[in-house]
Amino acid sequence: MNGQGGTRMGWQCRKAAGGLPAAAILRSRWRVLAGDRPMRGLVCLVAWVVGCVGPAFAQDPLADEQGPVPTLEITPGNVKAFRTAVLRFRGVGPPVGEARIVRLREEIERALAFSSIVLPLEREAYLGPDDSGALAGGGGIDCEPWRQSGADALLEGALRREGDRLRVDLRVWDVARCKRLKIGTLAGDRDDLAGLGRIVADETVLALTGTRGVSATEIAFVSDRTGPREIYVMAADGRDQRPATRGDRLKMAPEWVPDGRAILYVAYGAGQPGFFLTSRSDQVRPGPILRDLMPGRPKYRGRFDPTGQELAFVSSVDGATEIFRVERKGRKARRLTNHPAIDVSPSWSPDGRQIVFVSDRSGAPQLYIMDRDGAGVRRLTYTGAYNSSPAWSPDGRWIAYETRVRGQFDIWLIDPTGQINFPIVEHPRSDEAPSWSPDGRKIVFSSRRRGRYDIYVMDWNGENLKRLTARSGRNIQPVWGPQVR
Amino acid sequence: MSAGAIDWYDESLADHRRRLRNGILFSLAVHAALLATFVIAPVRPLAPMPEVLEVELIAAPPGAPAARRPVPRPAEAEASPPPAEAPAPPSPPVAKAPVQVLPEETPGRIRKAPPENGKKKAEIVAKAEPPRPRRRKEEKPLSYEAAMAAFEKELGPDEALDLLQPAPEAHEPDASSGLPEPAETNRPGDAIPPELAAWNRAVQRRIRNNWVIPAGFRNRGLATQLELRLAASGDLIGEPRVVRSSGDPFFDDNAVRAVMKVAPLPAPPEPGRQIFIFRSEAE
Repeated sequence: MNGQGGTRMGWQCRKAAGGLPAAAILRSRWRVLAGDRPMRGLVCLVAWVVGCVGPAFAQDPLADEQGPVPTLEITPGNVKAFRTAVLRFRGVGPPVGEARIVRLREEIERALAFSSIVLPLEREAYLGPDDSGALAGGGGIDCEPWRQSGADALLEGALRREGDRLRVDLRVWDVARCKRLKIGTLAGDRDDLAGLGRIVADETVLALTGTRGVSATEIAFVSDRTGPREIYVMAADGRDQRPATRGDRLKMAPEWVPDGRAILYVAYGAGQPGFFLTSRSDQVRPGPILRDLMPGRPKYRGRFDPTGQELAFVSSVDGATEIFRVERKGRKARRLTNHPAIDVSPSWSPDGRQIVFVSDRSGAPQLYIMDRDGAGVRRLTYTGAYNSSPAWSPDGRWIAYETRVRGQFDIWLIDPTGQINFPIVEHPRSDEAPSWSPDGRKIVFSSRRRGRYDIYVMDWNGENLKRLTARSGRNIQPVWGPQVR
Repeated sequence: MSAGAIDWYDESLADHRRRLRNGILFSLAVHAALLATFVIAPVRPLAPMPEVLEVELIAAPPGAPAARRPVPRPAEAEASPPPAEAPAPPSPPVAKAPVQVLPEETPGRIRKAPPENGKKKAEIVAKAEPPRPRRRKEEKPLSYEAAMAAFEKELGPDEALDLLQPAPEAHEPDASSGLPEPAETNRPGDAIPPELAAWNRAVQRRIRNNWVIPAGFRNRGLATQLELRLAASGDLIGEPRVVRSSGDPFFDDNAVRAVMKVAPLPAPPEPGRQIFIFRSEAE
């Protein structure tokens, strides 16, 4: 018996545990605490353990009365993207305007295409009604025609105008199981259909993969297209490029404050280079910061730890270039490296416990990792005579960096133990300065493959390369901004 | 001025503290609950043995070709395909990873030979897999999929697929179905009934071609076990059920979706219960 019995019992247990007072208390308490899904999952797990460990669980869930069950192993094929039909949204209430409805769909499809995980289904393939009918009627959908169309998912929505805002009631359907995956309401500026489309697309990616898409994020970079080097910002797909700074100072090394409300950069003026903020929000005043920090010394390349509470940066003491760490208020800087060689380019691990940096203490620039307090320095790279610009991936599993090959740079990945190491961008012309998207699925970098430096984006495994800048000037040092909702 | 400019950090600090406090409270609650559990209910072992036994059946059908042995391990799997580097993020061997992987093939194989770079690694990998002589070594591995495409082009998709297919489980031969004779009946020492082998291949192929698995899910040491019931026609009876989760609900969902997407399956030689194990490792 019992394969099934055991498992079924497990489910019942889970339900029963849900009814236990302790579990109920925990659960409600937790909703107050956090209210997000993974945490609630944890609570369920605890409830499950409370309810089930013990007498009920003496059997193996897979044992079977009639001998072994035939078993088949399935390994991944080449299909990497969900096909999604984006149905025509319905206007509800005060007229939204046909043009807006059409345009919003285009924006959603464009943002989905950027994701390279959830791709829009070609309209010609539609076999089901191109209309968000179920949403208006509140009922289900007929999945069969969409299955025939090759759609994995279906996106339908109702669009309502609320003053200057547009509200979208959204449903994402899983076509294979004919089941609703997500219902949600999103809102955006009436005149920013691109922005709204990106948010809808990112939610759809979240519904299908568990990780929100990044089409609604931004990338900061440095460009001299109008003369002096300024900090620019653009949407992740390269649209809406605009300067974030103005003036005659030479600016470089942008870095997003982790909450997305400001961009830190280094500017050269009279005296030594130091840190400035460019504001992305009313709450942040732009201008110089940390001016009292190590006065008279140059400060370069600040990198925030994941909490935004501390900044690692580069300065020089006694003729040596070293890495420092400073708290947000800038009272005390702490020296992390202490070596006559040049130590530069810090990048934090996503847990904030370690910093990868570049040092030429071995005679040539190589990557090293140290603890956040500067202890435990160990060399990471042993291949390549010139490795620099490390960037730790958001999931902590990889460090992207540039390595010099025949006088130009390629981009490689290495895991933090140093055991796995391979190229992701190889091109006869230079590819430099990788930066990860906040979901860890993409990498932005600058490349000279067309003669001039431009910003490119690709999936982290090197696929789906796309050029984002196309104007004149050198476009360098791209840094991917955070997901802010 | 400089102080004013960074005032806005304070609220996030407060928020941080609040979350820290809440986290500690929650942690205490959980510990208390667990402790209570163990005091109240004496824990009996969960009888893990049968699972292991079942695994052995997968791995060692009498005389299954040696090439089949290396079922993906979390660490090595990314190394399995000749050029697997790029899309093959090896996940750190998480505790849950080797769920029903062969006991003798648990993580660590790749670790003993840390590759210096992509090329070297590819060689090491190739060496580690002598039983697959037909595989071609690629010089400049960039993407596994690209290599697979080339691989299939060279061998023809069916053959390539055959090579990639894991060993089907040993099974009593009582099936009768009009399925075509399998192409590889002459495989040395193959003991499973030809109808079943052919059916297995057809199903694996069909699911592989329809199972959407984004790069982020690949080679993470994930494995999901689904139990499904098949009618004699190949129709699914009810929805596949996750009998062992990979730990990632989206990976599990994806597996269920893949089966439902290709249903009905070819008429099975033996209708009834069936276990499908979906692995995140490309072979």
